[in-house]
Amino acid sequence: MVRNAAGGDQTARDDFASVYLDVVRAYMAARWRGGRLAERLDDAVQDVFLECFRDSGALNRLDDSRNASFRTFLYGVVRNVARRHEERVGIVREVNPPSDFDPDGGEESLSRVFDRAWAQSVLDRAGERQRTWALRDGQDGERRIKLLHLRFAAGMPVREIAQTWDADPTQLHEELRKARKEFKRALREEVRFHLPGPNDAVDRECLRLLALLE
Amino acid sequence: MSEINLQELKVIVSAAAIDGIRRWTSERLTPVDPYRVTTIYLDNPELDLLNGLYDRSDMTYRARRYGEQSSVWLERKRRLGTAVSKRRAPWQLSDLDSMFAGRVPERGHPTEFFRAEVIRGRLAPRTVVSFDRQAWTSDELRMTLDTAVCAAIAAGAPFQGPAPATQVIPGAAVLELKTESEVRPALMELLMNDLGLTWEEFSKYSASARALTLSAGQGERESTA
Repeated sequence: MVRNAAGGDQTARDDFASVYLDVVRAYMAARWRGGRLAERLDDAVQDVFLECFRDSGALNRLDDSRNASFRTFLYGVVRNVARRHEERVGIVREVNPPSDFDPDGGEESLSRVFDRAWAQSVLDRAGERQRTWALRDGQDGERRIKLLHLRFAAGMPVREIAQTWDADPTQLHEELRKARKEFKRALREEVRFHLPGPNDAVDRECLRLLALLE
Repeated sequence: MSEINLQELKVIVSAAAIDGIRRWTSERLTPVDPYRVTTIYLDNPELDLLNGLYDRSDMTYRARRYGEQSSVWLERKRRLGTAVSKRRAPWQLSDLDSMFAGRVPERGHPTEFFRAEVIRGRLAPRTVVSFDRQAWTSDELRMTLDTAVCAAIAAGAPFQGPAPATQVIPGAAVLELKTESEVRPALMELLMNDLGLTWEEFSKYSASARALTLSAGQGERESTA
């Protein structure tokens, strides 16, 4: 997708923007939260994608041979665009000093905001991927998705779910195990989409993303 | 608090293979003095951690003591395939009962992650596992060989009861290879190939629960704090 987007394929560019929009927006919003620069949020987000897609733009400079993750690459692009907007404000600042951002301080926490948004976005898409697979399995698949949500998102114990559903807890245990396996597979595939590599590296990235969301 | 990210391969090796592994390793890695390890595994009353129903990924909550030290490590270990992410913080052995009861520490303490989960997840000690550990290290690899792996149902004051006596893998040992390197070190591959080893999924908590036929509700105890 990234390579095709860099090559000008409009569908790939639409997909690219759809995949990364929330991550880019979350970072910009956190960086400029509550300040005057927040008014530039939509423009800045749009600029990130323009920067990625333009001739000789960021995606064309992406070097496949480097061992850096695409997340790191995109973070660099987003941060540079943010700084450009801040520099523009900086010119005005000589006349009317704003206090609505701290361009250098807090970079570590902003980097974490970006990483968390990235992790959430990957997990959301893994969830969608799993849902698509599960729904092919009809009502059983749909039930597994509900079960997974109730157990891990809503925190309900299996015995309570069994009571609510008037179901056999042992049967629910089996269904939950299957749902977990499906989730792991979906997460691995989603991570591999961004980080093609050996299984070991993919699994490590999966754990890193899960830890980021705690 | 930061996570330690590792790649960890485990192999159960037979008694007959142990000497060969020690010889092979001693020629290539630096040995560390052997030590005893005792670990208390925590779980909720339904044993969801044991049964893989606690979280989307496989997790272990445990308190680990090295030798006779007066402090322990409180750890959360998350595993996916051969990838492991570990969070740990030290804690005084004398205050461990209070920790298990969820009464300490104050918010923001490095062990907060552990206490919070003890409360949220209704976690309590379930099994105790002890073993003799021999370790070897190199720049990018750590290898451990755990023998005399024994287990007991958790009861009484933590780490104060009789030594676990039920053999978990009679006569066999657990070989673990760990690296923080992103790429699997060549020495790791060499060892696996030379000794004809194949990594497998193995959990000391699961194995101890099997050996003890642990069932829901076991390991419950009154706090002694």
